[in-house]
Formats: sequence, C-alpha cells, structure tokens
Amino acid sequence: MAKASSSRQAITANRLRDGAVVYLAVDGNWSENLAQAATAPDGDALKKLFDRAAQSARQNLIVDPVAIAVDDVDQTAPVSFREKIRLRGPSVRPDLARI
Amino acid sequence: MPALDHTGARVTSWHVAADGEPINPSTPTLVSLAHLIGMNKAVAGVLLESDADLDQAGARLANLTIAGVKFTTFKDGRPFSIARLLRTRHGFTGDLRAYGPFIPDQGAFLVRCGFSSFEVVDGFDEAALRKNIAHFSYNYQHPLSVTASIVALRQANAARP
Amino acid sequence: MYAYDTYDQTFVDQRAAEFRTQVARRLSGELTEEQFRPLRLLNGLYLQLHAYMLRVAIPYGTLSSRQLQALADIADKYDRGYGHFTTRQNIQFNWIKLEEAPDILADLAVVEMHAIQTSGNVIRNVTADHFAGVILGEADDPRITCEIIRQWSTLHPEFSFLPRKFKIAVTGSLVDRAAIRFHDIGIRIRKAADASLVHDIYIGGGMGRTPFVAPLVKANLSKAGLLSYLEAVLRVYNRYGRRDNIYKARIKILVDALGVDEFARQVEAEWMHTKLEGADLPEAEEQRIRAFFAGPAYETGLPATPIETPDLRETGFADWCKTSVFPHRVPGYAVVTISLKPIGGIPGDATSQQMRAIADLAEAYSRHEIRVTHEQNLVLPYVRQIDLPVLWRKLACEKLATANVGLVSDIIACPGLDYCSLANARSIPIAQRISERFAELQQQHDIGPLKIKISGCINACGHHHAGHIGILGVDRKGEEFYQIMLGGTGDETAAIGELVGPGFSSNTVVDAVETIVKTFLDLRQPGEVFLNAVRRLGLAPFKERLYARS
Repeated sequence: MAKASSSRQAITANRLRDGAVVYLAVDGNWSENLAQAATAPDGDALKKLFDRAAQSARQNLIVDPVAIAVDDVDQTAPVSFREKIRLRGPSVRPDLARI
Repeated sequence: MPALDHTGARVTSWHVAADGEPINPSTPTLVSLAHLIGMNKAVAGVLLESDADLDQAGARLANLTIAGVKFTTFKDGRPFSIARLLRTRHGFTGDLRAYGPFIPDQGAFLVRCGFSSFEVVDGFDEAALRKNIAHFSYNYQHPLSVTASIVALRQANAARP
Repeated sequence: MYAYDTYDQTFVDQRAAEFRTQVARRLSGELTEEQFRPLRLLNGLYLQLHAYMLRVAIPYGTLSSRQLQALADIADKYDRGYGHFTTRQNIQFNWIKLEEAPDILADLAVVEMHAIQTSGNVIRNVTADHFAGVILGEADDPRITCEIIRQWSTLHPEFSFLPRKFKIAVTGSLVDRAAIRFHDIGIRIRKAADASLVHDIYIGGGMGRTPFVAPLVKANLSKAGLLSYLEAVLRVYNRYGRRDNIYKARIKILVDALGVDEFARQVEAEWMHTKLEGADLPEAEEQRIRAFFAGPAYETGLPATPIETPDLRETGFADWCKTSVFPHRVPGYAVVTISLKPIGGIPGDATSQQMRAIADLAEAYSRHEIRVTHEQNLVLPYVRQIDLPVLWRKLACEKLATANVGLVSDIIACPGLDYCSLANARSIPIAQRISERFAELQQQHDIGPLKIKISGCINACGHHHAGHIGILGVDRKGEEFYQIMLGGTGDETAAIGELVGPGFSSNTVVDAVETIVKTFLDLRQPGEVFLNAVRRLGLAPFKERLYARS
C-alpha cells in the first residue's frame, strides 16, 4: 500500500459542551465535517489557523486543538490512523459511524 | 497579595523573610526551615516547602505561632500531609497558612487537613473557595476541623436512647 | 448489599450538586480547561476521542437490579444505548455531553451511585473477588473491607492529590480472582490460628510500563488496625512517591527504589503514630457495615443441579453449566457467570436491553443482585440450581449464554484506539477476530482454560501482563503492531508474561495466537492446561513455531 503523501494540515479539537470532534472551517467556525476544514502547509498560514483555534479555546468553544496532516489528494482524509478513527467513529461500531 | 482566613474573610499577609534578613519582632514573619534551625532567637513562624523534613526542626515547631506550607503546583499533594503532621505530631497549634498555586476547589481539603488560612494571588476566586469550604455537610474521615465525621455521628446516633 | 444512610446519601447528593456548579463554571468560562480537568477527572469524566466518557463507580463490582436498570436508562437517555464494563468492575459510557454530565450524576445519586474517584490521582474504586460472599472456603466477605475502605478513601482530604492513581483490591480467598498482587495494595483476608481475621498486605504491584508483582509487606495485620495502616502507607507514598515523572510515580517504583524492607520500616514507623490518631474504625461501625453483607436468607433442602436432563444436554446447557456455573457455598445454589463475550462481540459491552434483561433475571433468580467481574463479565450470585435451565434459556434469548467463560474467547480487552485518547492501537478488533477464529465451542472446551488479555497501550488497562497470552498494541511508524507475551497470570500464582519476540502486524497477530494454541495442543501432556504447559515448556517451542522461516 502506497503511503499517503501530505503537505497540508487542518486543525481539529473537541467541542467543549459535548466533546464532539470538530475541525476549524474556512469561515472560522468549527465544523463536524472535515471537508469544510481550512488547511494550510506548515508555516505561517498554519500558525495563523492555530492562533485562531487557540482563541476559540480561550472563548471556551473547543478543547485541546491540534494540527493534523490531511491527504494531499483527498483533503477530507486525515493521514494518521487515529485521526481516521476520530473522523469516522469507532471502527468496531460501523452502525454509529459519523460518515 | 491578599490573605484569607478559613471562613474566606480577608486577613493580613505575613512577611516572608529572605535567609539572613533581620527579623522585625513586631511584624508577623515566616523564615525558611533551614533558617529556623540555624537561629537561636525565638521567631514567629516558618514557611515550609512541600518536601520539608519536619523531624529536622524537632520541638521548635510547637513553639511557633504561625506557619506556612507551600504548594509547588496544585497537584502537589504533599502539603496536605505536612499540615496534618504539624497538627497531630509536632504540636503546632497556631495559624497554618497555605501558599502557592493551590486552587479554590481544594479549600475543604486544606481546612480538613489543618490549614487555617490562605495566601492567595490577586484574581483568586475567593467566592469559590468559601463555597468549597462550606459545601459538604458531612465527611467520612476523622477530622482536624470542628465538624464530626460521619463515623462519629453514626456512633453518637447509635448511643442515643 | 450496602445501603446508604442519610449521611451517605447527603454526601453523594452534595457531590453531584458540587459538580453541577463546577460544570457551569467551566461552560461560562470561569474555569479554564486546565483548572477544570482535574475536577472533572475526580468525577470520572474523561475527554476521549469522540466525546466525553463517564466512568461510573460500581464499588467492589456489586450492583442491585435497580441500579442496573438505572444504568440502562442512562445508556438510553444520555448515551447511545450501551455501556462498557471495565477491568476495574466499573461501567463506562462513551458518548457523554459535558452539559448533561451533572444530570447523569444526579440520576445516579437517586440509586446510590456516583462516579467519585473513578479517575485522577486518588484512591480509585476498590475492587474485590467477584464471587465474594458466595464461594466456598472464604475467610471473610472482602466487600466488608472494601466498603470500609471506600468510605475512608472517599474525598480523603490528605490523599486526593497523590503522585499518581492508587488501586486497591481485596480477596477473602486463597484462590485469587481479584489479581491482588497486580495492585498498588492487594489485601488478602485470612483466618488466623485463633480464628480471628487478619490481613496480608501486598504493596507495590502493578502493570503499565514497569510491571511488578507486589511483595508481601505486612502479614497478619489485625482487622482493627487496617485503616491506620493504610493511612500510614498512603502518607509515606504521598510524601515520598516521585512526582517528577509520571511513569515513575506509582507506589511500585517507590517500593522498588527503597527496597521492601526499608519501605516496610518507614510504613511501620508511620503506623506507630497513625494508629493512635483515630483513623481506625470503631468495632460498632465495622459491625454496622458487616450486617449489610450477611447475604440473603437461603432456602434449605433444595434439590441439586438438574444438569443430567438429557434433552437440555443436547442443546448446549451442559456446556454452559461447565463454564458458567460455579459451586455455591450453600447447597442447592449456584453462582452463574454471564459471558459478555459473544463470539465476535465487543468484550464487556452490554446494550441497554441486555442490562434490563439481566436486571430482571437477577430480580427473579438472584435476589436482585449482580456482580461485575474484572474480566468484564457479569455474575448472578444467588441462583437456585433448580432455576438453572430456565435461566439459561432466558439468557440465551438475549445472546448472553455463550458457554465460553474462562476459555480462549473470553478475552479481556481495553477500549483501545477505537475510543481511547491514550491508545496506540486498537484492541477490540483483535479480540473479535481471535474469538471468531476459535468460534467452534467444542474446540474451545478442548483447549481448556486460557486467558487472553489485550491492551492498546502500555498503560495496560487490558491487563496484558497478566494474560496467559498477553497482547500489547503499539504504534510502529503509523501502523498497528502487536507484541505477544506468554505465561502471565493474575491469580494466586501471579506472574508477569514474558515477551515472545518481535511484534506482529494486525494481519498476522491472530495467526500467531493460533500458532501458539496449536503448539500447546501438540505438546501438552494429558489434562495439562495452557499456563502450566507454558511454565513447563518455556518460550522456546512457541518461538520456534512462531518465527520459523519457511
């Protein structure tokens, strides 16, 4: 299996009030949909996204924001296995899958 | 920096003396444990680090009128043990004050281990501290504070005719 | 079982109310996440991969039917219709909203339950032999000691900010079903020569990154001195346990660093004081708590097991009796273990419908009482033997009669990377695939007792060090990999499993387990069980077969 190549990252977090997995969207809101996520290559643009996420954390909207790598070809796909599970839900409960 | 007593009311901060600093006997002052051990004169109080070896100070702790114990972080649970030891084993009966970054939600634990006052930073949530101290009507453990433990209350109820 | 008095009830109600204000302070921004995290953890609320997770305490694994009903209601009302029974005899709900957590604690308080100290660096929920009070040859019901420790440790003012979490387990039997020597403190209650009850105290066991089997630190501790002794142990640990490195902060590291003798000496010196300071329970209070565990009024003259009924034997009843039914200390009764390990299922998960069914069955056939085992199964402790066939049929209707307790498909697995934010690899799918590989029940019975335990990270919630076959999931360059250990056990012959060699990929790990089992079947002596064969043979023949180059 060829390794996914990734040069862009998105910001993910859990929403404070219900813990749901969310992504920082292009419009600055937090979306449960990775397809709406803002992505940026490592560097100033990513730092800007992260600053916005940190602000959301200070505003008590989200908790524990982190940058995650997304696939270059399919930007709705995270690279790491852990993030794939966060995106989709527990692999052992396909009936509860988010997507 | 303000200080609060065990009811959460404002009280005077104590002076913390640097080692070797001359002590003004009319000002409530805490010195370090090392300083206390090295001193010949009577002194009001000591400020203990959370890893303090109390046995070093011997009987001197019983003669102090004030003392402080310092948290390194709020997760540092050692001051709770130090406080209980000061109260139960070293004969300290004076005003025992918590120092450092403890949090309001530790108020009842602090009081129940023998702390009687708190040195806090500006912006510390004093209302939350007061609430925390007064929150529980009963506790299971044998207390250092005035309220009886649940065990003692059960014993008293059973003894009632 | 223990019933709250007004003090216990007021306490738990006030605890729930306190958490409601703490959650409100967090949601309003008065508390930062950093300030709030320890507060929510002290109420069992974690933030996991997909949502908050609430771990509800089931003290020493004992539940009433009413409490299990309430847990089923919580699963439906606040979660997604199921819960997960854990290796600490607790239950976890996986899809909790922070804003609803205070309501759950309030609902729990109504049925005398809570989530106090199911997380955080505190004395955690005390666990016990799940057959407490009903098994033959027990010196004392360990739940009496557990309840005493539960009350003493609940919001203990001195020991709520320990260097690290602290786990205590208690057994009253020589046969160890509570894995006491893998705990920070393991307590075995024995009858002394003069018939008085004494405690042997093992300290410094544990799994995780540095596994230890706990050494005996104090033998023959009198019942009356238990709490003052524990207070001395905890004080020595609280003052001198390491706080600079979380991987070295458990008491096992302190015991190991000081040496058992020096550690024991320091505790002894502390105990000389604490026993004079009023920590010990008055005899009358011990008697009050003891009375709750007297057990039900048993019927006498009941007929013995109907296992010889031929028509039932054909349909699997006999197999189920062989694995799920255990002798009761009272003639005419049986102890029934309900497997939460259906073939291909998620170990320890139960749906709300199953919880209600089990609550009803306990109501009808087990004096309203259920136990949770650390092996993630449930137990009905007071079943009349004459009721076994009907109970079995009713369990089968809910897919709760799998005859695999203690066998190769009765696997312990932590939630792993499917749910847990600490995990490096998934545990549940491995358990499911192993269970499917050995689905054929006759084959499982032929293999005999075999405990497989799987963890998704080194924290070892899945007890892999204590598995006859232990499996540890690791992350290797972004791929799930699994290390296999052999020869571990949590019973009275406690031992840490030994790493068999290089790890296996997710694709090959189930084959590896099968190879190990086949090697055992080829080499075993008549009647020999897996663990004994590993002890006799060592790892060599297993390694040879596992790593043979074709």
